[in-house]
Amino acid sequence: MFASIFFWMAVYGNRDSAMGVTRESMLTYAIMSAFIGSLFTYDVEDRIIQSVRKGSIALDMLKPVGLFGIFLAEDIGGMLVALLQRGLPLLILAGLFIQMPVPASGLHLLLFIPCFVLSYAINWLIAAMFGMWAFTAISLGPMRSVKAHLVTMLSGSLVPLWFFPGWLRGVLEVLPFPYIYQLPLSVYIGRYDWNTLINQMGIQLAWTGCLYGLFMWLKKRAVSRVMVQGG
Amino acid sequence: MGRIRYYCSVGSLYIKQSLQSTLEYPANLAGWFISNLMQFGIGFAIIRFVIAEFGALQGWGLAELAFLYGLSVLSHGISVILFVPTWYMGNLIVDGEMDLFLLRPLNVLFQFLFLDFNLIGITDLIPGALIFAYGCISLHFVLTWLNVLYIVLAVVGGALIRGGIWLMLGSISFWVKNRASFIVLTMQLYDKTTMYPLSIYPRFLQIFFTVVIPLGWIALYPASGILDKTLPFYIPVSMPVVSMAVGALLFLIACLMFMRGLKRYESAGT
Amino acid sequence: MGEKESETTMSVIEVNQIVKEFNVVKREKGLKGSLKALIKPERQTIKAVDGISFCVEKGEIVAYIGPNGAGKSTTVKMMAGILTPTSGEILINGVSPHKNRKKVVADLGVVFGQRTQLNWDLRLGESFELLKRIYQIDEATYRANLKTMNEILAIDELLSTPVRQLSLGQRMRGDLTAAMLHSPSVLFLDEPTIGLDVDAKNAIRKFIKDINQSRKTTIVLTTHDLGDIQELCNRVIIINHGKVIEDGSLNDLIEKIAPFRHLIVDYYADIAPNHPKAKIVDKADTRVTYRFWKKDITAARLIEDLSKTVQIRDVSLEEADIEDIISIAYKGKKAD
Repeated sequence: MFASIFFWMAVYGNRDSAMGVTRESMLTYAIMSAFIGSLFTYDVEDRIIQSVRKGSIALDMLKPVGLFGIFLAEDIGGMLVALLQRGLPLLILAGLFIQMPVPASGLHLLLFIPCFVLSYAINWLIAAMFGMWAFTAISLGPMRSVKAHLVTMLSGSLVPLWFFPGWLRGVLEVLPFPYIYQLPLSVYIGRYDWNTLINQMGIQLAWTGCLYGLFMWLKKRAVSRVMVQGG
Repeated sequence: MGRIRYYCSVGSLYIKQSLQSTLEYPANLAGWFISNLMQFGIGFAIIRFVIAEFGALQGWGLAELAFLYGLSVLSHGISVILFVPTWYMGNLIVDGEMDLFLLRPLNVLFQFLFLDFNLIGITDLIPGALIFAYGCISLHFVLTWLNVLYIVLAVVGGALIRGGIWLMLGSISFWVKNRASFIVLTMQLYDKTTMYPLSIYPRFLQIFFTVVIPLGWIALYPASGILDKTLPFYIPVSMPVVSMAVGALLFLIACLMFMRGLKRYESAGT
Repeated sequence: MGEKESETTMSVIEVNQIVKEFNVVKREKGLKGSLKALIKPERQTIKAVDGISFCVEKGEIVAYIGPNGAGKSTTVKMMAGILTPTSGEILINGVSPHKNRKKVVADLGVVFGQRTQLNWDLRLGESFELLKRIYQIDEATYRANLKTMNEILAIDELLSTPVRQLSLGQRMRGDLTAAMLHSPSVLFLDEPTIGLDVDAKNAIRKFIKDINQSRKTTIVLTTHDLGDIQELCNRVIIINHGKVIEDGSLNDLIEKIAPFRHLIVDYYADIAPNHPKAKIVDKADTRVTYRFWKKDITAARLIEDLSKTVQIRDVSLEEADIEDIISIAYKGKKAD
């Protein structure tokens, strides 16, 4: 977790800023990236895959209580545990030994919170849909690995997208990935002017909506298939 | 002599059958190929972007970093081919699968290591070789016989260090009897200590990864040696040779630990 | 005991006063218990096997039975060299599996009903090829053994099927063949018929009988299926709580535990005449159940005596139920 902090310290070396981001802001970015990364603990993917493997998916889906509601509640519970076990200790350690990850302003901190909630939602929806889709795939292992790499490397969790070449950045900003890590972190360090910020948050909200719609559609299809086949 | 021939003949059949098993699932092989190409391709691209903005990292330019990264991924690929059974050792022990090894008139460690000769590791070797080749070409690195020997020693030594650590961690399951998987954690650790110079870390971590857990010897020190980079210490032997020795020693200790664990397994059962 | 001396006098399997202790951490319920176990684990020694001794002679088929957790698997694992006994000694053909594992297992076939030694991803025949290499079986023996197995278990039709596609019964046929390829003189079968259908069970039982007769293979069998025992075993060893509680033939066991039979008599009226040498154990309307001992009176005589006084509509004779007998034996007492 601290590797990327040391990485940025070494990369900046004696420079004070790069691409309009100061050394302090970049370290805050890296610390907060590790922090929110520690909160993204999803079980939903595993749970769905296991439920399909054991063949209990049919029964689970037909239960009156919403299956995904339960998974979501469990994941949020898991996040709270992760906050205590990993998130806060990480912040404290970083604060003691590196620097206090201070937000750009109170307002930025305030905006960071809804951004984070939406990024959690996007990440969760992707995981849930992946779980539903993955069990039909022939080779699960590599698929999961591809998904994990996409989310880690193209979301700006390790290296922010502003270091990527322009054309690639253009492509990635259309995809949902940067809205998982990069947007909330950029908001936190105050990288965007207000216009860009509102704009980006709008896109994030739109992505959340799209993914939710797609998720509901997939779920409906899965349930009807279970009903027809009887599992 | 007869024993050696016997083990060679059994080992070669194990390998042949493992390859057959892997080829039973071509989609899996293809999937891993895509996944690994992506992982190492994007990983290297990101290093490139950062270097493009900032210039060299602790005196390591892009070409040298490619050489280092390539060397690391190559040893990773070899370790994946040879040591994959260590990843699920906890499961083998908890589920009592070691029983089956004990029922055959054959060395148990041998059976364990040859259980799963994992062809999928080739999907790591290919991107590794590409990145390494890019580094060599950019550096105008001449592949003399000696250099080839150094590279082979470095890759094999690195793979033995990776595998030795896995075997040690896996053997812990003989005592604590759990399925705990350490693979994600070690992979991250290996990445973070072999992709770029250890000198980005504080001094005590550098010493730790050199002496206590010798991850620096997987790729960094042999690459430094081959490329004539300055090192924080002096050893009058060429680095790839030391790397190989460290790997061999570590793996030997891991084997002894496995044997001890097996004795415990025989007395405690599951 | 020197090897030479033992050649002439030894049994195939000698188990002498073996004890197996396990250390377990005692866990208490709740968070407090977990914490306590973490900080100051209270260790407890459990004797899974507590001084078991027996010998098995060449060509015997022995059923080694007991309730769950009695120590059966632990004993079998010790005999197979997987577990080391805490104390006591085991000799298989005069060799200790603990001290010379490779030598013992080279002449041993072991099948676990719940586990397979076949490679999931390969064809059955390929798993056999690997065993041929491991046990250094020469081509002629290998061919001959496969031929024999084909006669008993019709294995040829399965050879080119991937193991993951085999049914449980087919897989068991494969596992039994795998265990016999190197012509072992001793065979341990741990619940070989578990979960199998009637046909598959019969095939397995036929295999055990044939192998035992044609090769004089010594077989130790653990099972919960009493049909296996009735059909196959001339000797039963019952263990419970890590100790041998019965060791003898099935008939002797019946004789010892339940040396009586039941005569059920259906009368025309609701009556229950007594007989001095039989005991009424049940009465439902006109049906009366008498228990009598073979040594006291024969069934024919009893019927004759009873029919002298009252008219009998129907009679039936009931042998002691094997399940009851085993269940009683597990409890370690006699039937009442």
